[in-house]
Amino acid sequence: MMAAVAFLVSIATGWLVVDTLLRPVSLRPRWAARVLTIALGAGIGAGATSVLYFLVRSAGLAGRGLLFAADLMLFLAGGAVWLVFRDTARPVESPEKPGFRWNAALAGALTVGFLLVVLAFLSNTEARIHGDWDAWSTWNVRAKFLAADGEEWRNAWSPLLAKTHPDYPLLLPGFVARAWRYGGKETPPAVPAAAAFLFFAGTFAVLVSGFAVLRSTSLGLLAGCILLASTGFLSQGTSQYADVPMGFYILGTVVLLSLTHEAAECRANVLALAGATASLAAWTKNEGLLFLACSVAGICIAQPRSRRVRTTARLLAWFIFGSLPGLLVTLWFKLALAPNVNPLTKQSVFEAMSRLAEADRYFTIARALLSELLMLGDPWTHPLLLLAILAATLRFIPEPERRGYPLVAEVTLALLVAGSAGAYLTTPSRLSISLGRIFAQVWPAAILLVLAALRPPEATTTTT
Amino acid sequence: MRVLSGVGLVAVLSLAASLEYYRTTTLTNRTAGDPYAVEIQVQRLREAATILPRDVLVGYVSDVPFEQVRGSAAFFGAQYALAPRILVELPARESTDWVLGNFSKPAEVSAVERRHQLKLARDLGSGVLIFRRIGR
Repeated sequence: MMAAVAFLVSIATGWLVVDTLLRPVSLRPRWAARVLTIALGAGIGAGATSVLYFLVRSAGLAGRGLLFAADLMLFLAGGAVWLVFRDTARPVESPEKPGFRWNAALAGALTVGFLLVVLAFLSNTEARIHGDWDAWSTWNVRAKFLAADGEEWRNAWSPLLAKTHPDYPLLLPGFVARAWRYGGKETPPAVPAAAAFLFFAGTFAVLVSGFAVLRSTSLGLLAGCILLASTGFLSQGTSQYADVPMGFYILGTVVLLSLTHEAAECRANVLALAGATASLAAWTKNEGLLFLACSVAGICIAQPRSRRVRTTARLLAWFIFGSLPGLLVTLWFKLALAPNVNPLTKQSVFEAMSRLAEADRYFTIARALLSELLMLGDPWTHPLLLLAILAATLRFIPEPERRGYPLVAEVTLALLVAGSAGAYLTTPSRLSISLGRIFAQVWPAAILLVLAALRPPEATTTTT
Repeated sequence: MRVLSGVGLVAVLSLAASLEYYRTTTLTNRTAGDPYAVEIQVQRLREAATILPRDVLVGYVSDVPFEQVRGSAAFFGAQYALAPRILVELPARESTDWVLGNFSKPAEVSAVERRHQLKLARDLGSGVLIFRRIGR
């Protein structure tokens, strides 16, 4: 019961922040704007309260009362800002998106599909309440450390846990530990399962609503259909690993970076939020720091040359401002607390470079990537097949019409994929073991970017 | 018509994928729900968790080598069940006054005691033993 209160406080706090910053953007359609605000708020709230929990514990404050007080202060601060800007925020009208005649039928199919996936999620959770291997060996066990009463909470990053990545950032364990602390001394396994569902459902909601806001309701619903056909991703959703939360923050950042194009007059707000989601990706997994760096590079590269320096500096300033809480706590953890046990960073530059010259590593990675890509769905309902059907029937938007569409999200994701490939090429550890998880992280955002290149059904039916 | 059939086909295939995912998931869970028996580990070690101090390193001995999947699953399962204590496999550089024995079959207690200089403190049944270091 108290764990549910912890979740609600997180979601409400995040919603206050997101609603305050996105309200001036006046997003359409309204249902999608509401869903997007709640879903992004849930993820940002989870991350913000995880950061706060870590700071409170680092300050030596372990009591439940102090934890409540800290959370309450964050919530009240969010509420105060929300109240102050409630009336002063001036909505900038954005045009209502044109509708597709069959949206209701699409929404019905998507709802039924999502309910089936939720039932499968519940079945998995009932069968494996402690999650899959990495959940109980790495993520949930660290949540148990973080929830401990005394100084044992620092065991979460003890070098003695070298076999289970004590250097991993702590967003997910911190969020789970905080909810456990709300409830007292018990550590019910339903809490990490609920956290997994929060991020899984949040990813689905951000993809559908974000795309509806960015392009059209019909494409948003179709994006949801593609995600539901991605059974490899669905399996990761119930595993209680940090890859789906990581994917949530990557998707959130990509949606927000794309929104900067729609919200020309409120770019600062949107970029600050994008900075927050990108930094929370860094607080979730090691790859998140790479993603944050890619986002910064993406913002720099995607600006038009004529006004690159000045515009980029202004945009970057807002992005970095939003990323500060998550980024600072991540850097502090990585540089001052966590042991350096990552084989990728422990090796010398020479060793890393010499691996680049090993041809068989390229084949191994390519083979594993292909295998994971094929396992992303069932043969006759594979998401790539569904994307191909949509590409064939909706057709790609001609290049001149795409001009002005924000490149920043595409550049960011392309850099992330290139950076991840570089990390895999140079890592001394086993290559294939975690490649599948890369898909869980980037697949929702990849769906968004691929569909963004297609004409919406309503535009195609009116022009043909 | 082309667009409508394409969009309709995608919706139907997506629904079929969700249905198949639900069907295979529930079927698999009925036959092989918890392959590493984590919940059983948690239940087996519940009493040990009340005996072992929370603020010490706990040694770990088992008859299943860590290099086997069964052995590493048993070790990580025990670590999960006993957190926030840290388990270290024996022999270890770190000194451990308390040692958990996690055995899959009846243990040769005297051999374990001799090899690691331990003394059995409690036999909790189901292969769960608690040892203390000799000379403490």
